[in-house]
Order: sequence, then C-alpha cells, then structure tokens
Amino acid sequence: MTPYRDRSGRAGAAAPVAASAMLLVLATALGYVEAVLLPSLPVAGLKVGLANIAVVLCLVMVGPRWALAVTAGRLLLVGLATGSLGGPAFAMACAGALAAWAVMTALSGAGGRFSVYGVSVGGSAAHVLAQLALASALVGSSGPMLLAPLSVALSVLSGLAVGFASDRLLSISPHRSVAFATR
Amino acid sequence: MTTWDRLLVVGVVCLAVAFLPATLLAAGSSDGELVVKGPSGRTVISLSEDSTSVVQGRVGKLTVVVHEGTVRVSHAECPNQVCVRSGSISASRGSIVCAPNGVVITLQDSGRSGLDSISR
Repeated sequence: MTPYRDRSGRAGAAAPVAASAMLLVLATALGYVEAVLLPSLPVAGLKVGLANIAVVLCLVMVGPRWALAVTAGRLLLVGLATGSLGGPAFAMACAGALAAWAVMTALSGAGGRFSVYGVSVGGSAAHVLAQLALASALVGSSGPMLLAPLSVALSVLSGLAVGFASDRLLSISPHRSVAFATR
Repeated sequence: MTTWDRLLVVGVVCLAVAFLPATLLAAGSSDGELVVKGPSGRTVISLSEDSTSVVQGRVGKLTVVVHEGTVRVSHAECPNQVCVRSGSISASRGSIVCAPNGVVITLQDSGRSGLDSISR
C-alpha cells in the first residue's frame, strides 16, 4: 500500500486534498445510490456498503486521516440528501462508518499483512456490529443483536465484494485514475 | 488475498457462529403474545399456536387469525376494511387498527425489538 502521489510522482500538499475530494464525491454518489435506488437486502439494516469502496481506496491511496474525512463528509452529505440527518438511522450510519474506518485503519497499518480484501472484510464486520450494538442501545433491548449471526456472516460477503471492487480499481492504475484531480 | 486475509475471514465467520447460541436461546425463550384492545376489553392471545378469534367491536365483529406467528384480520364488519387490507403483522411490523370498531391489535414485546429504521 503506497501513499498517494501525483502524476509526477510527488506527494504534493494539494494532491491528497484533490484525491480525497474526488473520492468523497464517489462515496456520496455510491452511498446515495445504495440508499435510494437499490432495494433493501432481506436482512434488516444490511447493505453491500458500496460507499466503502471509496473509503478503502482513500485509505490505501491517500491515508487514514483523509479516509476519515471522506467518511465524515459522506455521512453528512448522504444524511442531508436522504433526509435522515440527526435521526436514529443517521446515528447508526455514523456508528457503523466510524467503527469500519477505525478497524480498516488498524488493519491497513498492520505491516502490510492484510490486502484490501482483509481490510474491507474487517471494516464490513465492524460496521455491522457497531450498528447492531447502537440499535440495541437505542431501543433498550438486546433484540437487534439477534440479527448478529446472519448479519456478521453476510458482512463477509459484502466485505469481499467491496474488496474485489477496490482491488480491481487499484489494479487499473489508481494513480492514473485520480490524476486528473491534480492537473 | 493474503493468508492473514483468509484468517480474518475465518475469524469473522467464527464470530458470527459465536453469536448463534445466544440468538437461538433468545428466539426459543418466548413466542410473544397478541394483545387485542377493544370496546369489550383487553384480550391476550398466544402467538405460539395458530388460532382464530372473533372480537366484538363498536359496529361489528372482527375475525383475528394467528398463523405461524403472524396475525391478520380476515374479516371485519366495518365500512372501509382498512384493518383487513392491512395484511399480516409479525414481530418486526407494527399493529392493526380498526378505527370504526375501536379495536387495536398489537404484538407485545417478546424480548426482541423490531428495528424501526434501516440505516443508510
């Protein structure tokens, strides 16, 4: 995993800003499309997490701090666009996204042991568990945790799907794909 | 995928399996109950077995059918039939109301709380 550099190979000050801004747009678009256009999966609260593709890319190409900025920006923008800002669904989205970012940051910084697949699967599982834990706290019952076995098991599949997408995008020459942002 | 990735996947699957006993225990501990409130009082019906009950409302009778843990009003003597068209309710979905008859059918918490929103 290499930090983002611009087309000339320099890690300029504006490069991470530009790349992160573009990834924020990608994360927002994917998050909005998934929230509004794609049908819900049969398990309550579970989704593929397409927006996480952009966060994984940002984590790998730019760095953890910028990935956090992309995560926070995406939460706010998708929350505004879907009208869930400030509500319980927004709180759950925040809990899931921040837990995923924390775990993915830890895994990506673990001496290169994990590829984007592992990073993504870890983030996906953390996302699901954080959401279920917060949902349990919000309703004052352990009821939502009853979904944990199925949700956590399915999070492996969604994590692998996001990992595959991220891997393919990175293999297509990620620096070229974001190079226009630094022109 | 690296070896560590595979180990992580196995770990997450094990985590999912680890939650299973608690889930099965909770799922089997209570089947919940159906509460029917109307002009004739409050009636509690078990959800654990299929049944058909007739409830007297203000303007007529309602037939409440419990089938495999779901509840629906199959027939109602009321003008607009909203309660009949409400379809089935289960642990994850609300209540049935027949306003003309003054009857409210709700599922009591059976230890599991249905999520009322899906995170985006």
